[in-house]
Amino acid sequence: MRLCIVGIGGCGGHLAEGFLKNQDVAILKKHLGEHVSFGGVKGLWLEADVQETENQNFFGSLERGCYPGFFIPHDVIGSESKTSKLIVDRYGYDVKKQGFMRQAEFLKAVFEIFDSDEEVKRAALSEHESENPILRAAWDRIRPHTTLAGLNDNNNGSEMCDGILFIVSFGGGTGTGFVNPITRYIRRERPAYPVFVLGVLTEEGTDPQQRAKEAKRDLGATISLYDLLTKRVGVGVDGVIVVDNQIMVEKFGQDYSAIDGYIHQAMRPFVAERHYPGEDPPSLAMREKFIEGLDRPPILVPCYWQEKRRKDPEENLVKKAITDGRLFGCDPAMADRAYVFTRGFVSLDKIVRAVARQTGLAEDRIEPWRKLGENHADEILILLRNPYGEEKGCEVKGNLEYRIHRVIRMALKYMDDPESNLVQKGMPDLTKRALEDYFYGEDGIKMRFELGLKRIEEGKKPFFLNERNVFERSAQESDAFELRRGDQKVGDGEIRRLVEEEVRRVLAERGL
Amino acid sequence: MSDLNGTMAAVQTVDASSRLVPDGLSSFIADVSSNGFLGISLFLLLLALGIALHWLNMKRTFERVTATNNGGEVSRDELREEMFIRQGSNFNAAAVTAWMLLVAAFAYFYFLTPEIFSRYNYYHVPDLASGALGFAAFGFVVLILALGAAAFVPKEFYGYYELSRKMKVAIMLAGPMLAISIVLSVQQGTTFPQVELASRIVAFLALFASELALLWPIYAEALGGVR
Repeated sequence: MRLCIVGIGGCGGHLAEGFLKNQDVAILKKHLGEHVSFGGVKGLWLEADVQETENQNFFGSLERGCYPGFFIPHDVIGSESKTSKLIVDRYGYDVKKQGFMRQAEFLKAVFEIFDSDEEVKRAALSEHESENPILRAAWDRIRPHTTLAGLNDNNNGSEMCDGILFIVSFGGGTGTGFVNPITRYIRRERPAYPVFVLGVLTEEGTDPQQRAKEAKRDLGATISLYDLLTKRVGVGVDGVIVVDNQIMVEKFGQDYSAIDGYIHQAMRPFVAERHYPGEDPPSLAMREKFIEGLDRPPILVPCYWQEKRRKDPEENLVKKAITDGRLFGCDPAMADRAYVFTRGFVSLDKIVRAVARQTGLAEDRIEPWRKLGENHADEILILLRNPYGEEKGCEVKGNLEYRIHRVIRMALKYMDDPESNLVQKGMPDLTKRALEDYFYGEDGIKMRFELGLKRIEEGKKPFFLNERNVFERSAQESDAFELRRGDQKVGDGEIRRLVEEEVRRVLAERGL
Repeated sequence: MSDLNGTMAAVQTVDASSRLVPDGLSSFIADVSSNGFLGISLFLLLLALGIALHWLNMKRTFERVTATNNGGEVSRDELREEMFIRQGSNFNAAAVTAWMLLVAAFAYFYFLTPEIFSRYNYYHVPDLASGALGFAAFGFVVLILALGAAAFVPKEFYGYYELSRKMKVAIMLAGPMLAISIVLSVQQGTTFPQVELASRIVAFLALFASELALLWPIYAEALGGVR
């Protein structure tokens, strides 16, 4: 599988940089010829904040033909845009806002408006030739790097990616808010295209970089995780690879570039080329393995280890990865599958047996993929699928349930804090009602998060169940979903007539 | 041409090298650099060792993959295909250039003046040596040889190795180092029969250091594989 790496937001951009770094040498700081990334990956950075893009020099503007490039999707909406004005007037949201001040619900709400409000759709369609111009523009920048590229997409004849890995931080910013809408948008076009997310959960306490309180970030993280994990397979992503920055900070201190470097290193066995002969399955087959037996995307916990090459390395590699190399706390014995990526010379049987011994998984639930290594080292990355589900597992420090339970509790705490001001006074009534309902309604996310906590405590899988939109009720209450043919509203009589005609046709076809 | 040898022996050499390295070492390097057979043997030995170790590295990889494949057959061609990595066009261009320059620097160092091989050198062809385009013609012959070396070497050698950026930079820097070696050899050719020992030593060190840098990925892989 060759991945298209899409970093979203600040953290996503920093991490994507590691993946997209040119492996070629520069002559007088000028890279001539094709960009060669490790594993042959391609990619870009999606960002909402212009200032963030100006504070770095790795990504150039895609609009100016740079590669690797950044793209600001909201720039496709002009400052005088009717669509933008309509959304501001009706919902109070400025789609051209720079950065999102760690409000995960902001982008979620904005993209739902494009999805649910027929008038906004029509305005966008007439103005931008797309019902959702922001997501369309983002996807138009990603697609040329993929096997879904159209004839008109310019990919310079290079090899294309047959899967996408979005990289985000679950800190409540651009990455948190953008990853779900863009995935959903891609899925409408290609339900079976492999799409994964690598999400970094921010550390406990106040974030020294953004100075955002943990509870606020955790609300963003919970909303994002909720949306990612509750979408059905074929609608959402095929797996959410989680990394806990708390573990990284304990390992590297506040050295974020070292943390980024380590996360990239840990993911190298996943993205690397140089497969063992005959062990490079088509990406769709790999996707099937990840979602086998599930109707919702799995949580994947990465466990990584690297050591100097030696004889029979399998047992030690696996043991070290599982015990010392977890990038998110978990109980490996609770995993229902393990996907193993190795680099170096390892025996297939021995690695499967070692993983089975360390996790208690049946051997037929372990999928190994081997690649050739480098620098006389052997490496292993084990992705443990859904390694949680123990009753009262949330009370055991170091478990996935323990960490997620804390994150949800912090999110609920933030929602209950009057200073949080989640439903801002200045917003139009429609938005205020929708947000009130979304956050605190009888079927709102507060109630759902509480249910999630209960399910975690009871050791149930999955802990989040059904998707929840900000505007779903408001949209139904308004006439946003009324059926139209062109500009004409379609009445009940006409719908009845059409259904009767269709039933008659089917009956006639069957000779009844 | 034997007159030239006599002339050469009588030349007052300027030993500036004593300022760069200790006396004992400088005289040792001077001895090695002016010993044609030793130099060429060393040059060819390093090359041959590189080729042999590359073959050994490939064989060892094949054996390790086979050994970890539970007796399953491994196709050599398929393995070679999987092993091959693109190193980037900048690097490839720099590596091709460096290999061409290596051959050129070698030829200029040993075969331009009669100082080392009194019977086999550029000055042995009087028409060429005294002609206006002599250096160019000599360069052209060297270029043909160098193209032959460059045609297969970088892809064959480097495509099968994971090269760190530092290693790539070292290989890329071999180009300028070899250019220095060539310039110094040409200077020797121009000022001959006067011999400047310091530039000769620098040209020699640049030539062999570059050869080592160009072959280092293979040596490093082989050394690591031994552990």
